[in-house]
Amino acid sequence: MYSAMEYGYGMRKRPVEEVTFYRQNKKGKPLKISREKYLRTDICCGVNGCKKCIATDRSLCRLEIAPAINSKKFDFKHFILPDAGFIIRQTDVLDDLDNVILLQSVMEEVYKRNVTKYKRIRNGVKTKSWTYFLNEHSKDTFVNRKPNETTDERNTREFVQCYKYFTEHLASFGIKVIIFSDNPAFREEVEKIHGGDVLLASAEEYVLTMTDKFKDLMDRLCLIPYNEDEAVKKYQDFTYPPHFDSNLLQAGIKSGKYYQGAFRSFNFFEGFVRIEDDASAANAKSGPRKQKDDLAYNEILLQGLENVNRACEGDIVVIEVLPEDKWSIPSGMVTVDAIEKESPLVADKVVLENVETDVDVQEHEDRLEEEEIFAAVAESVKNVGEKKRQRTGRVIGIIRRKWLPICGMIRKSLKEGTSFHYFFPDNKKMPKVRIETRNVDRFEGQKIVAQIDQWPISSRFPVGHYIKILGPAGTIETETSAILHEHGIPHDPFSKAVEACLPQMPWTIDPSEYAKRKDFRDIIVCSVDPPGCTDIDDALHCRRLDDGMYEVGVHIADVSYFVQPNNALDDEAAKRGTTVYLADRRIDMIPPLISSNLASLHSGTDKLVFSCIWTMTPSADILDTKFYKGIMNSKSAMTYAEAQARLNSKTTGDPITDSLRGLSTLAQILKKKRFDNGALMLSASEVNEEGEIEDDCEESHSLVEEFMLLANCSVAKFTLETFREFSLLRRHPIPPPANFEPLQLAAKAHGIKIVVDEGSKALNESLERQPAELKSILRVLTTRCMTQALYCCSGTTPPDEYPHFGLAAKLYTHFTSPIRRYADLMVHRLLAIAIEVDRPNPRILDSQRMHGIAENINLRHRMAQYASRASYNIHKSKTLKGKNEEEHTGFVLFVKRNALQVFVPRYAMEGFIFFPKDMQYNYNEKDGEITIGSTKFRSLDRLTIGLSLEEEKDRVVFRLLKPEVAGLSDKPASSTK
Amino acid sequence: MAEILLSEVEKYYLVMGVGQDVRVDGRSRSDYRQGDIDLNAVTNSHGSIRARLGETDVIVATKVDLGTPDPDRPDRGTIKFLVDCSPTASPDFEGRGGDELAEKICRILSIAYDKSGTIDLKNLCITPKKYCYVIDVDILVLQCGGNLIDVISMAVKLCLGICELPRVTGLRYDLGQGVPVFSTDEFEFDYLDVKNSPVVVTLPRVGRYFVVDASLEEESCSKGKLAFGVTPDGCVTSIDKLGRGCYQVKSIQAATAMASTVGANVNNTINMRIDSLRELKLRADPKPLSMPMDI
Repeated sequence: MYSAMEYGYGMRKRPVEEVTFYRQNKKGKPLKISREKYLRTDICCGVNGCKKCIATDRSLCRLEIAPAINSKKFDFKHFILPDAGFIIRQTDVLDDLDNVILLQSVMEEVYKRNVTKYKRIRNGVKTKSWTYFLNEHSKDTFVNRKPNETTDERNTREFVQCYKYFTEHLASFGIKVIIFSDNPAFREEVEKIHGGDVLLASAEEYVLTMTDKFKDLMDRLCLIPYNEDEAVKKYQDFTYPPHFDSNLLQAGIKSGKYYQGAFRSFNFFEGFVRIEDDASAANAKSGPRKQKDDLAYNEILLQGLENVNRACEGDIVVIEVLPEDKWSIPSGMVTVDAIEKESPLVADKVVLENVETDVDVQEHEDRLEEEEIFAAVAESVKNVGEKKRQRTGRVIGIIRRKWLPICGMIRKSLKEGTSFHYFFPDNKKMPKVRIETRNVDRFEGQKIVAQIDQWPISSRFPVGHYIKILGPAGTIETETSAILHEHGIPHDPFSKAVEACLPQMPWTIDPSEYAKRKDFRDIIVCSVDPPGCTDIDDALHCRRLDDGMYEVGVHIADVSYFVQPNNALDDEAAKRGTTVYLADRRIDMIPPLISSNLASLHSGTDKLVFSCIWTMTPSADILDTKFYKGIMNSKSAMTYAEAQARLNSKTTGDPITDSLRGLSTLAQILKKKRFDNGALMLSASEVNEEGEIEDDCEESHSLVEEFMLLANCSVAKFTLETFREFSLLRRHPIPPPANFEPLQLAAKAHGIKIVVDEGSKALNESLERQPAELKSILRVLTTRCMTQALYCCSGTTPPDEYPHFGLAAKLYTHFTSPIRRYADLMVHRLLAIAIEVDRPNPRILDSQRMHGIAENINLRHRMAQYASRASYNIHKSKTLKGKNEEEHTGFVLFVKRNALQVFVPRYAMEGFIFFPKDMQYNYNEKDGEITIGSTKFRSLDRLTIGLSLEEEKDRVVFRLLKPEVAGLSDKPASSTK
Repeated sequence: MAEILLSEVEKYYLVMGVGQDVRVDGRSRSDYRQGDIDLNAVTNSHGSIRARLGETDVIVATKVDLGTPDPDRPDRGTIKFLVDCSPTASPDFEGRGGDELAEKICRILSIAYDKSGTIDLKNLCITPKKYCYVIDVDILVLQCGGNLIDVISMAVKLCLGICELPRVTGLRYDLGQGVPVFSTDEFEFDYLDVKNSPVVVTLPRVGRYFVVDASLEEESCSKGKLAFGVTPDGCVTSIDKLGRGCYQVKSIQAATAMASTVGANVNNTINMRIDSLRELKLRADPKPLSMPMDI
């Protein structure tokens, strides 16, 4: 009977340690968890060429046996052993250092504190001469916690143990180990445990003594004092209220006293947090909101530096609602950034002499700006009355920071000899950032990327450091990379792992596919695309059947054949989510070999397709819908213009033309049906000078569009019928009436009536009734009022939210562009399973995963749109370069407190006409009007606008030419050449 | 109760031996058998003991849980017992055979611990009426070699003595009202004060004499037995009669006197063992995990 026990003791002869810890489960039950840890003796030190260690995979040993000596102070061969604080603070420095030992325990700590940085460093291990040492599993470095020892003490002891191990282990190579830590307390503790004689260095100490080759690193140092008190002392120009303790915050949130939400900023001292509470829930239940007072029913306004209290765009914050007498209204002001406006203080040298530091200048400027806003707000409160005031709050804690690298420029400090300078982000929602650098001159005129490190309580602006120079500001190359950076668009070349997933070239269709797939090669299929299109993902055919019916087919490139789920290629495509089209380049979602070659439906070759085949009556009623995986051979790849020419020609008997004609006839009927159903005709910006939509090839455009829409609808219906839980749909929420407020104001000003709250059909009809000269610009404005269409997973969205408002479709999805959208690829996979040509895959049939994918592609889509818009704007501004001011027709889109937001259809460009500070004007918020002297400005007013490029600042200037208003129509000196 | 069959001759020999104060294995009537204690028999429990005395072998494990106090005693925590008589211990326990005995042992233990007042259960209360510690004591009988109840009671006392009550660090409001948050630090816990809690001394009457720590053979020679709960200062907290047979008042008095002295001795030894087990746990390397019982 003791044999079991003896067996147990026998096990202990192997290096085993017992690790015990406590947990508390959801119900509050305390659990004691005890695990046996089998320690390994075969973990390699990571030195390339170390004979003492047993290494299973030599390629992971990347530490150089003869490391280069880069430091003047530490002029011996050494490796770097950073602690967690160092990794998080000095990530950008660490990136450029070689021979770094990353301990598993340290990296786990980094993971807990900052996941983004963890991922970044973890990726670095794959390529750099770093090593990731599994110290918690190695017999030589494992440290179990002693009784009466705190976790921190154990961790430090563990760290020292690793230091000892490496020092001893590497002694025979003549390599020493230096502990990198900025934390003085930690350094002291290490010395105490080790008993003196430890090689320690802080980032500053090390980097400043490095050879000239590493000069760049000095500017990337994060130089905020580690100690909070010292940090407070170093930056003393403002006092923010302290953030509350996290326990208090959590308790407050649960009890409903405080609210949590993501901070959305208008500018850096004004923004709002959208919250959910009883009041908003009650509002939501009472149906569509009609009362104007409910406008901001669940948005809590945050105004002023103290109330915003160091929150930045996107941060998850905790807020407290202020008492009602402190409620305010949004200022509705457009901020002009200081770098772009001629600040009276900067211009005025006399004032400058009295100002001691740059910070003071800055402070004065901001004070002015802030005061301006509050004066405006106070005035508005008076004008619109107490009723319209919004719930206002203040930030009392920040739960999670969303500090991503930001692009912008550094402005040299006006004070001589200071190393503090200000970084002005391109994104006006972000605050300025203090950057400490010793040679600011090299940043002159350069666009750089910077990272916010911290926001000390005593500093008006956050403190950060520079990461890299993108290039001289204003060049297309620099601006494009800034755009990609800013929107977080993955644009690196495809990795080796991804390329390994590509098919071997030369590639031909596997003969077995011919047997499996439906053969469409004999049918006259053709594609219609914009000129120069290399990634053709759709083709069409139409033929008359013997019984008088039509057979119409939409053939979509079968990308899912090339991108199999769950490999590196699929992961990368999922991450990218969409192909991004910029003005001068395209950032592919999948490698060009597939997107422009193998999958693309070029004419004259056999191609794999996923087809949707309808049988229709001549009046375009669908009798039957079928889906096939097929093989086709496109007879012609046309441009829209070519297709239009064929449609317009008188020839008969040509099968391609006949097919097109058939498609066109059916498309016209479908289109009419769609609009009768209430689909909206929306317009982004294709409006010509006369305010009319330009389209020479309207027929061929709409031909393709109608059938793509139809295919998408059919697929959406079919997949949802098969997979209730995990279909991917595209929904377009009904915009709340509040969204239409600017439209309503504009309509009222022009004495017309737009019906916004009776569904899309009524809206469309009321738009249709308007006079021709207003119709197009009204559509532009209506489009602005819409909400975004979103992807969603049917299992995680309530069914009444499925419909697509703009298209007036009950169900909609994306099926037709798998080459450039990941959503379509997922839909293809779902459909393939639904028609039983693919086996069910648990990774695809998973509503939670699908939900995650939908969220990601929504984000990627939005970012791609922003990036594309930004890129086009830059290119448009380039066309103005070196030219005299051009005169164009423009329209007022919105009336702002201190500016007119105008739209120039010729370039589809938008901009602001700012009113000078000293100008006398009357802003009527209620009617959305501004009166200057005798001229009144309202939304939708037609103007004549002068466009020119301000050379130095590389910015398009909008100038009001007609109606002429003194102060706005004066010719600025800088705009002429 | 697990029983073995003895022939009349064997019984006679055994009974006469007890009369002479020499038992079959050479002990006197008030001697205990040799035994030992293993610490941490169940690693995921909050304190566990494996105790062996002679051939009797039991494992006792405690799990600390969060519960609501009994409405009758809103300011006290609870200790719950669950005995499992494994069929490996005795063929009699097969099927539902062990249930009756298990129930009986549970009753004796809850009288001794949960109701006797020798442990201050107020220490187990976290917030009155709302939250208290509930200690689940699981007892597994591995081998039944006589004197089972005494061994269980000793093991339970040892086990409660080393049971770790995770310290409450605060209250959390996201799950209803003020759920206690326990420390996740493996060394931040409190011990329960079990110094005064009783151990059970079972005295079967073999012939005309009561014996302590009877072996299975001796138990089969006795019709009934008396079980006493005894505190370290010799105070008898409970008397139970197990099995058949009846006793005269005089012999009950004699048994009580005997239980009082023997019990006090045993209980003090157990208290000493608790202290040394607690010390053992504090050592950086808590090995050996075993120590003799030595009563």
